[in-house]
Amino acid sequence: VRAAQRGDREAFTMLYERFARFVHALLLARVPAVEAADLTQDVFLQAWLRVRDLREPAAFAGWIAAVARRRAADHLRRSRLEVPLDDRLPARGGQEASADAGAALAAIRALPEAYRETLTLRLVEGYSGPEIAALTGLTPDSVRVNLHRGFKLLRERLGRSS
Amino acid sequence: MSNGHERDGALGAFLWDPTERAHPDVEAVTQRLSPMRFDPARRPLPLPRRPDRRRLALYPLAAAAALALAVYGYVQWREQWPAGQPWPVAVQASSGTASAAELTVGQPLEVAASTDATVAVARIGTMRVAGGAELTLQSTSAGHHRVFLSRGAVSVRLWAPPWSFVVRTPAGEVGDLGCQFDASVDAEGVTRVTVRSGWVKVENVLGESLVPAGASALMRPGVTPFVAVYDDADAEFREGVRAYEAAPPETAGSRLAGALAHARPRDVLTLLVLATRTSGATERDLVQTALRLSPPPASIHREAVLAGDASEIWQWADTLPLPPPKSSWWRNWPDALPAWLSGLR
Repeated sequence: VRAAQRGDREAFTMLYERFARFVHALLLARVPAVEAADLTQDVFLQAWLRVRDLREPAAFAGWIAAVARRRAADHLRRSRLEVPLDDRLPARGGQEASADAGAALAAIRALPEAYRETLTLRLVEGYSGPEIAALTGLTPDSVRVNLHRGFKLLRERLGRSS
Repeated sequence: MSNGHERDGALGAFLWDPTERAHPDVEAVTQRLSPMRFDPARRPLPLPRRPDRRRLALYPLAAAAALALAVYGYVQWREQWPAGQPWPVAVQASSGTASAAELTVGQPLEVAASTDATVAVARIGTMRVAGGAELTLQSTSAGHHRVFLSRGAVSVRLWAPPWSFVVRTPAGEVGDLGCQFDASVDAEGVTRVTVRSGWVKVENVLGESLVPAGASALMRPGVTPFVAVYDDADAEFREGVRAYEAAPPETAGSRLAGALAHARPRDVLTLLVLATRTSGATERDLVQTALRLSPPPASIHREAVLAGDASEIWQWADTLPLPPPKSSWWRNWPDALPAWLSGLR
């Protein structure tokens, strides 16, 4: 982080490689999937220009999470008047898989707010419970509860819809 | 989906640690969501060049330095003027027709009654010459511009070091101390000056008067220039002071006594200047009135003032709230701006 603050592009690229999935998961919990990837890059470009303002390098994860949440809120505010996008991805896996993934993500986003980020981190990006606790600053117990209750709720809803 | 018979422990364990024994429900959802996964390696980040903050911090300084240099250059430029170079004149007739002319050294400018003329005072300001006025440019060069107003009225607006511009009249000289003023000369050569910003000095061989913004002064040929009186003073006070200065000494005192009753704290400058020109009971009346209206600061000795100590009186006058003194003429910089921009003071 300190090297990135000094303007080291390689160091910042390493931060991107390490934290991009984390940021993407936070965004997926808030914005349509088709926009989350572009917004992830936006968040890191913004961070590249502002990382010098970060006083405590150890707080990078919390800081980038705050940047991502703000960016998502801005994006939603601006796109309120635009045509809403759904969560289907044109990318990997074909139309059917994409629609299926979109439905699952929509079900996560319909859950209470406390569960959304934890579930996208675990189920989309594959982070473990301890990693989620370390990245988000939540206590391990909170993460455990969010995962367990959130997933049971999600399973119910997916089961109902299928 | 499983039917819910699996143990919560196995579900929780796999959710918490993906290396534990896989739970089919979690695996199924993870599989469904896999197209959403983000792969940074497939989306490299195009990092732009980051602006150097140290360099950015220098921009305002550089801009300020450039601005200061430009202002300094402009101020230097506007004070320069080739010796003897005519001044441009724009003549505006009441019929609406306009024409251009020049005011050359030694050549009188007579402005017809139905017109008025705007004269550029070299580069340091402008002078509007009212219809019916007669004006001659006597000399012009950098920092030294002299005109003679034999009759009529002019309105001058300048920003330049003191005494750069002087209007000479049959009664004496009206010297600009970095300001805006009106001057007029009547058929008897009596010169009236009203100051709108800064200071003006009126003087002839017999003496001088300093006139601050908001005040007027009078100068008759062969007579010491009258003291400055504020235009917003009570009419009784203004006329009383003028009558005192114009009247023969034996009758003047009574005129002044009535005027003093109408003086305000702002008129203390007039009272003090007048006090330095009088003596005896009149001087005492003037100083006592001034003391009553606006007690001086502790640094001024009342006894010395009452005793008529002129230097103490002048020190007191210097403490009064007045426009920037002539040494700070540059503080009247709004007079360098176009009239519409500086609020048409």
